[in-house]
Amino acid sequence: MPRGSTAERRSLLELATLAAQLEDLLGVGRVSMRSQVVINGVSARVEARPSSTDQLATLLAIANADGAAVCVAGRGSKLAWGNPPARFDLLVHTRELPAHCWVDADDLTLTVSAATTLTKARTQVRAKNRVLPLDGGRPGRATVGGVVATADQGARGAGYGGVRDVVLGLKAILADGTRVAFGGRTIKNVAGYDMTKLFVGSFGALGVITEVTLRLLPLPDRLALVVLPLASLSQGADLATSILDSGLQPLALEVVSRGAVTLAGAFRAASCSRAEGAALLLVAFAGHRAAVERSVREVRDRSGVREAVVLEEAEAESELDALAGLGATPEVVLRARVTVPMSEVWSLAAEAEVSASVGRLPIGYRIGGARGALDLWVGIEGGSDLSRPADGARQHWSEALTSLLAGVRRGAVTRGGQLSVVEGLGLLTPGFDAWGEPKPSFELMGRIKTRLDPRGTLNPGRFVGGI
Amino acid sequence: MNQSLVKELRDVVGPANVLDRLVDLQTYEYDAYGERSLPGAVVFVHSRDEVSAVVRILGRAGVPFVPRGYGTNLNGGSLALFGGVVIETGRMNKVLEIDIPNRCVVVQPGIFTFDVSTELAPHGYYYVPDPASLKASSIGGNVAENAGGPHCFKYGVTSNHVLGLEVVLPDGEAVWLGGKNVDSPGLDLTGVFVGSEGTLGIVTAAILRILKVPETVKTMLAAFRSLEDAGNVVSAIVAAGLVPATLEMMDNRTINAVEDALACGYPRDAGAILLIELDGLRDGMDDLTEQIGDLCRVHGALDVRIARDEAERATLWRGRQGTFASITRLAPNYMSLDGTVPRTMLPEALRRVAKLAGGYGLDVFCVLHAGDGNLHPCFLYDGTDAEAKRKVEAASMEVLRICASLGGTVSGEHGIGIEKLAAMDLVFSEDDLRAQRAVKSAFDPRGLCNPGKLLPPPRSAAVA
Repeated sequence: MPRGSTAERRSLLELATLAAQLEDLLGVGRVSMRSQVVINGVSARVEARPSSTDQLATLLAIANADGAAVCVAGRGSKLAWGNPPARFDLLVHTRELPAHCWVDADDLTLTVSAATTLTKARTQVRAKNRVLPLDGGRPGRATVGGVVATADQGARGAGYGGVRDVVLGLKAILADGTRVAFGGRTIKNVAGYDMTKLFVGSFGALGVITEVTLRLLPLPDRLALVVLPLASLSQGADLATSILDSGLQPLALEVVSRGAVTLAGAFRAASCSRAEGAALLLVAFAGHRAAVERSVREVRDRSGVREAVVLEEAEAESELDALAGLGATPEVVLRARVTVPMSEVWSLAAEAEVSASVGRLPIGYRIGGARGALDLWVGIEGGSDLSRPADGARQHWSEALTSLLAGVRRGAVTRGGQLSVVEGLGLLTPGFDAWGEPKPSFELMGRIKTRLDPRGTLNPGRFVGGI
Repeated sequence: MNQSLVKELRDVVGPANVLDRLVDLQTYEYDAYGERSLPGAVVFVHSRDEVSAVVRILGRAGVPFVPRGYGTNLNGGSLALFGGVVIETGRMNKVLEIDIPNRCVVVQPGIFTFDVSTELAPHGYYYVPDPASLKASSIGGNVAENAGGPHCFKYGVTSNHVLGLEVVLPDGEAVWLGGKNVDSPGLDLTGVFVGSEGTLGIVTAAILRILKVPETVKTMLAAFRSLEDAGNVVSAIVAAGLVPATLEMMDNRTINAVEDALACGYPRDAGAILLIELDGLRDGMDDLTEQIGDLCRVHGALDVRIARDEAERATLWRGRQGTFASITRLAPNYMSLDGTVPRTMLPEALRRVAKLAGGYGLDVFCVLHAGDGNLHPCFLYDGTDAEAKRKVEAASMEVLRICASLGGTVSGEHGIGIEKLAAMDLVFSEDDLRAQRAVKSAFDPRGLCNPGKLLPPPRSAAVA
């Protein structure tokens, strides 16, 4: 029996023995027993920084044999997403693994080490006149591995599709140190099970992704972004729906609430429409010059549209990038992501806004209109200090935040969707699950987890259904 | 087959919906691959609950089963091995819901792929994946095989168009994987189920993504002196940043086979042709068409012809869609492969395949989804000639070896089934395969669901 299968904490002596073993493997200075890293209230005990994938594989084999529980971090930008680890002995950093980035411009593929930051990968792809169709959060910090492991796709997902749609293959290390490779460098590949899909969005539950091969797109002839103020959310819903119905093919189709602009980080477009308005609609188009021009014209000519601003090329690009950075401000204490069938997202956002105002919680959101995505950012009035757990104020806010999220989650589930807590789970009432009530398919997911990671070594308890 | 088991099955689906006479079973002992294996019985199912009940009965009896649509499978995956029972889903062929606001359609597995778009046409939408078999194959089969088709170059394969699946698991339990929302948190079970070749369960409903019918479509045919010239144009088009919806290629032998059968106006003297289609907004379309035409001419095109209307477009496509039918008229049997290489490796792959065929003294017909690097070399032979069959099988394995060695894969569209079991270790290590077996056992711990397909037995067992 793996010793770690019970929830009991391992003794210092046991951990010191493990740390010594790892230090023998990695070298002095690469293992520390004074970890500062806390994941949703649970502290790591030992930290390790392997410098090669061979080391990483051996490290995992040792930890797995030892019964230790392991969490893995790239740059740590999404570590809070999910439940607290049920057990947490060892944090493994991937940031010192060798980085490689191979752009095959003619084949339209990128093969990149997982620890590479999104920004770096994008820059290299861009240098070859290609586009990397990943638009995950906080590109400067996020790594390709992290974006793939969380299936985090941003505004441009309207045109790119999901992360699952652009990953062609990957290499990973399983819990016991076994190295595996799935998929490949071709769009079509039906040899064996599509294990790549299983790893995309698996939140580290099945293995540590070490390398990813992605599909690239050619650099578009033209890029334009239309920004227009909305009188109401329902005007946004009507416009977005009519744009999609018309057959235009937006690269991004986003509504950003006024609250998001003030709360979650103002961005340039806001200045274009300082005037009153409940929200902003941002519609981007990429492609042939003539097609982009016509698309922009059709959006501007829609009824009810008055003061549209059109940004082009680099300006449009940076504006879209700014969208990915929304929510990363100190005022935001809680972040959640909702996905629902696309037509349902509008009414759910309206509901969330009402609930937040009832609970006197400042709220901001972005709606990915073509994908049914709703990112919520919640602050608290006056920006109270929540660091003192015993405080009565904290209790009050905790209840308010929990009640808000529980309500939005009910709304999401009723509409056939789900809500996950991206950041701030520790502020909610204990026991609030980051992923929601178990669904029948979770049991099957658990069986896959058990077979690929029988000792529960990787990220135990962090993912859906307690996986 | 055990008569009490047959009776139990008849009690569920009705007496007429279970076949167990030899003459009936023989209809179901083969699929489009060509090998034969007689099933123990054939059961026609009409609903999820029937599928569930049938699977439970078979589970209790420990009898293996295999889901089947219309048997267009090219890898032997629809054969019932070990005397198993065929569960035929062709009677579950309805559209359950057209949901335009959520851009999806919910269908039963037995619907013909082509019919999905027919049903959607009045709404101005369509379902993208277009395997050549689309008028004869079912969605259930397309999901099981992760079917491809010409338009995958721009739009991706079946997997990119399936949002959710209702499946009956091998223990008889029905469960929904995925749904109408995208990026649902949790393991992407829909993703791993698509392309699982009927080894993880039986699809009883599918939620498919639908797209608006493009405003404009331009189809053109370019003729070249050689495959090499055509291949260079494909590379040039991609390098120029153009993304046509299709980039289909055909060699001289195939052109003539198609002309003999269908007379759709392909140039018989060309060494190769490219069938290129662009779709999207009408604005800029003429310019893009011209750019591609220019690239063709710069790279030595003998002729570039643009379809002037829908009728001409349909004629050009009729030849491509009827390619295999045209070739198979020429001999009793054929072997069509579907190895895939990174696009830039296509010219090299074609050279090696031609040389290989010469070495074996075989005639090879080549048709390619060139944009995807997906090649379909096709060998003709007479299956009653054991020596010829052996030669074709050996040459086929060599083709797959070539694709794997050029950084590609052994199957881009048709799947593994029983056909390519021996080729799996060209692209997977034993560790990779072990991880895949773990997934199989998570879904099907007793190994009753379409056994003997997709995954080769563990190497140690194979030796023993």
